[in-house]
Amino acid sequence: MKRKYFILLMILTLALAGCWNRRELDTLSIVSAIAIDKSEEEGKLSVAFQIIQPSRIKGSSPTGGTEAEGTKGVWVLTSTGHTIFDAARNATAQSDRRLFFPQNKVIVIGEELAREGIAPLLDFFHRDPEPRRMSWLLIAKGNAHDIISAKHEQENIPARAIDSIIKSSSATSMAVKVNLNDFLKNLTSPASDPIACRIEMIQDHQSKNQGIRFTGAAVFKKDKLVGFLDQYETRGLNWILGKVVSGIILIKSPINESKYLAIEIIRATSRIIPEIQDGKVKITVEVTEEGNLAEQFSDVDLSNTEMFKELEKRKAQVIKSEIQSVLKKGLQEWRVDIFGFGKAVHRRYPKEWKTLQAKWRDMLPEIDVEVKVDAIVRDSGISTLPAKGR
Amino acid sequence: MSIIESAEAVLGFAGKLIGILYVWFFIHQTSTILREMGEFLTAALCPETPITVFIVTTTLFAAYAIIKGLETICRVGEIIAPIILASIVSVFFMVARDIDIYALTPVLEDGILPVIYGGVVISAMTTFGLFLWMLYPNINNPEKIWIYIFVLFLVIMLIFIPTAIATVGVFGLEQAKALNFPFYHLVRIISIGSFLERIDALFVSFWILGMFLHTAIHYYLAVLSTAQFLKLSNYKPIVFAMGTVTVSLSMLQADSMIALNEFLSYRILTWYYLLFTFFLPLVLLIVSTFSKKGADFR
Repeated sequence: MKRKYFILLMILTLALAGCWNRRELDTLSIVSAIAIDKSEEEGKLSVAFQIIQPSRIKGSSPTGGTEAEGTKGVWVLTSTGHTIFDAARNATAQSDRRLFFPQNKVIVIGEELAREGIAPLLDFFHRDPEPRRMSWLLIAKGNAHDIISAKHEQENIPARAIDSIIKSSSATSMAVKVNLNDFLKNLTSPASDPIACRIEMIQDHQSKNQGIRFTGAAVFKKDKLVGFLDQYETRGLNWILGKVVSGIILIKSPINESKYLAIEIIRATSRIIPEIQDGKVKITVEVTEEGNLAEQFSDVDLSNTEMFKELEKRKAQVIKSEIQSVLKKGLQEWRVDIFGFGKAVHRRYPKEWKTLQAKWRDMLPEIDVEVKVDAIVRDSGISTLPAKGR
Repeated sequence: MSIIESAEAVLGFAGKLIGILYVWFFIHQTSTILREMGEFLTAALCPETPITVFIVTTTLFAAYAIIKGLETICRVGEIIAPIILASIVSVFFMVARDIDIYALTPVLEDGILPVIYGGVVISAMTTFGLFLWMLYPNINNPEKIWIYIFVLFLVIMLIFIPTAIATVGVFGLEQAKALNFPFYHLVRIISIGSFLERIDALFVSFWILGMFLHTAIHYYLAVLSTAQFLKLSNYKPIVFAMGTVTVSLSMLQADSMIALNEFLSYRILTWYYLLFTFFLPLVLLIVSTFSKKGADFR
């Protein structure tokens, strides 16, 4: 009896022999961002991998002294291939370690490539078990490689800087936050077109450093990039989608038209109400916004009810024009449904949607959209009168 | 009496045929579960590890539990089941923030009929009712069996509904359809306060416990039904023999995960399961009602 258990025990120890997929940290190149561009070679992709250099991330180097340019905690490795995975494996020829994707935070795709369709590029990221679906998906205005090689003052890992910029973008609501999962969800849904984050390089005049700026949105028709929204149009889109969290609305002062007032957005909600009458689709967008007077450049007393009513009227006008501008661009110019109108119609009129679905894109320019904005100014901050010399 | 014994008591020699079908069913179930588990672990976690490693080790552990007897398996189940249930419920709450409840609308788009059809499909999938039938002689309070069946379906419902809501809500209908392991993807997107993330390995370890239990109970039933079919007084001698059968069957039954999924899709599997959970028992019930045979056996 005892011998039998001993034999069983010996068999079970075979399972402890170790794991095939053992990966030690010092054999891995941890990829934190990926940039995809067209290669100069016809039909090939040029893929840049931003690899974290653990030894360089530490504040000061143990040897002391200042490092001339080595403060950047990453190494950008560029390789080419016919597909992303092909390029990733080709990259191992230049790296002594295997590329490791689970920590990847950012996927940047160049504008030129995005115009040709990005669905094939994304397949790797949702098929392979290593990358995560929560990576941010950004479209670079121009070249994607520059974005992930850009230097940052406060972070030595550019991917982490991009991640933080995206997360803090709700302070203006003038950019969209889109991860891979959101994009795929909208891409595969028959009733909508996807959007992605937009990022660009800017030149800093004083330090002559190049920096990145995260505003606006990249708009797709199916999986092809059709264009970019500027920051105000993007906020218009965010009003419709109910994704405005915070931000500043500039309006002209009611008394002195040459001066501006800033009103801070405290909260905003939206509703999309579709209606079908005689085969025509009518959509009502209702936006409710609440804000506080945050700053004024004119030197008049605005703290009375009539003035506040006037401010509310002007603010509603600004919001309305932002929404109208993005609707015009999206529906008339590009014929894309990034607003979720199709989904709203599908939800409310499931039977009619079956016939509408096929011709939805052709119907987009003819949709009658009514925008109703209810803007409230609640507060004037902790002082009423502006500082003024007498 | 268990399925095998009652089929024989009711139908005589024809009952033997039904018995052998059930023996096949349990063996095949065991091997399918092993294969699914192996495919999951190799596809999602260890792509370079041979699938045999997972299948053989799980079988060995399960064989050990079976030799120790049914009570051991049940006691292990009492420990593991709350962990699994808690992990599933906690995943639901951890992704609740990302669930877009509008993805579930419009409700009843094509009327109630597809829902009823889906209900039939899902209920056919719940072959767990057969466990109770096989283990009927081992149940302490046979008069309470209706309560057990009710609780069984209640628990299954409580697991299915939140997982379905969460996967469709997070990934959208089209994406949820395209994913191989939707719930695993769900765990991978968990991110709370940007410090509680990438916890999929933890959950996979819980599920390995569950998969072990799942294998063990099916394996036990395969061994038990074979022993009853062959009228053996003790099932222990055939445990390891059965292990070799299930391991090889799990390796041979499909060439790839795609082939396995084709069989496991609701179009085929529903009818396959319905045969065992509905039609064969129905035949036995009708025959025993008319011939009054087996009425006093229970």
